Amino acid sequence: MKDSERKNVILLVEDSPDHAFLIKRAMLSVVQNLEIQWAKDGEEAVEFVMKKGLEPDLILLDIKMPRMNGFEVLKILKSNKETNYIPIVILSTSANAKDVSRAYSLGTNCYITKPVEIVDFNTKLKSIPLYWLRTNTIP
Amino acid sequence: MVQRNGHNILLVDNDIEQAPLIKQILESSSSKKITVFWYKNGVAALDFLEVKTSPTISLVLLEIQSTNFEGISILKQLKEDSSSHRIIPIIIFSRSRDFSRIKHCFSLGANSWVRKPSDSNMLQKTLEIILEFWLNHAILPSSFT
Repeated sequence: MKDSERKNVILLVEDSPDHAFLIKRAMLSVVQNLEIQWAKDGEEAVEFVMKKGLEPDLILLDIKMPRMNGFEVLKILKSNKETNYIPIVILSTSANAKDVSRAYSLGTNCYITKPVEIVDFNTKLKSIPLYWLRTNTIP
Repeated sequence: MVQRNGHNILLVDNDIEQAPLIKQILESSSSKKITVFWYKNGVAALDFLEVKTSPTISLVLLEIQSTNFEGISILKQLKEDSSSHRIIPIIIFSRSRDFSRIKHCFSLGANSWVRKPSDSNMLQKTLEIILEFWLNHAILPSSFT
């Protein structure tokens, strides 16, 4: 069983440095003992988990990224017995019905859109670690 | 059909003392109109989902620690590749503290696992957090139905 006192780790997969900065700042402001690892695209994220053996408590995954997009990452991690239990939350600018349905079908645990307004953006981002690391039980 | 500004939640739980309270809290704790369909039996819940005229379900709350059906087999059936219900988020809302079960349920496709408190105040608070996150922050597949 995981020690509740230990540091939580989130793998943030996001190609925009500006978004990555805002996401990290918002999440670190609400949860103590949190480490956020940043992968700049899907390929790097898969490498972190499959090759380097990173076992994050949560993966926060953008969809539109160079080299390997979020759907491909989802497909790889959710179809592998060693990694399919890791909760993945899609965090995307797309609120397109097809993208949402495809992501849930591929096994995303949750889908969240990035709001345009900074206040809404912060509120939504803060809710993510509070729910996934404090209310949800980490597998 | 899902109600505009409203959601239908399927609750599968055979605790005849606590489940009615969960239903009542869910239906009264959000600014959105929530209708809860409660089934004590998992097979009956699956039958309900298979009826063509069934309402669109936004979320499933599933207790896996029950005596008259195996909750994990319900999860498996709903999340298998060929299931038309695969995209509905399933939150395991359970008293179980069996850590191996938690990991197993996530592997089978459970979207989240939330420990079900026995204290009624904590139960209310936990359900409010679930509603706030899933209905106000997440995008659900049912939003487009």
